[in-house]
Amino acid sequence: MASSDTLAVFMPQMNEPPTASFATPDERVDNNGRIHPVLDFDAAADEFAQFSSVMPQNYTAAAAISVIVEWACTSAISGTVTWTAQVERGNTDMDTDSFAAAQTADGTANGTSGVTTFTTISLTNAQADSIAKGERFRLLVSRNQDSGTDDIASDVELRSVEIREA
Amino acid sequence: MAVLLDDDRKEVWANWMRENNESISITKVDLRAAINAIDDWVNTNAAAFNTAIPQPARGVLSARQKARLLTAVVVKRFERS
Repeated sequence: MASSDTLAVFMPQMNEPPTASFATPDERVDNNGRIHPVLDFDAAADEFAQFSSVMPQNYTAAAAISVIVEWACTSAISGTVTWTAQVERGNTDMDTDSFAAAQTADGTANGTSGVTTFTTISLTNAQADSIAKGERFRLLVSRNQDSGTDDIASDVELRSVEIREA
Repeated sequence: MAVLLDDDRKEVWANWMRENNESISITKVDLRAAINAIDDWVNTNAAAFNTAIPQPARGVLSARQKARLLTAVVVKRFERS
């Protein structure tokens, strides 16, 4: 697979929420009453969303990946959010959490709360738990609201997540 | 009555950030400072508020009832369409 090619896309309805501290399913309704499903991440508590997939067979061995989070704010029109991504290869005991360490990236809110921003979190293959083609994996996405940089005074709303080969 | 405990102020802060649906352009830190200042102001002016209530309501209503009365008036003043 070539650099920048898409490996996986996750939408809010594909979330597999943890039993606690989960991002809240919500919707943003446009002026014609049509919805945008979103996942709300709290400003004062760390919350998580989880997605599962299988790495495509044409994923280049040991390639770095980019996790691109598309998000907007419920009400804020300025500020910074800290996103984190963690990957777990599906080659371990399902009863034991074995996510690799969290990688982070900061994103700046758009001046209009309903306009989305794309924030890219870069992971080497090792940081992505050494995922290989054909392997099932879980992706854990969270807002690190107490990062010291995250200062947005409202929920932030995840609209989509894309994984690309870097 | 003393000012709110730090955990209570944090709860007010967190709930407000969850529930606010109008545009906001200050940071979380700035918002928390505003909540702290408002709580301090309420504490400082509690006696004056009580004195402003005429009798017999001042003597009959409980502190909680007076607080709810204040909340109702303030909400009505700012939520009128």
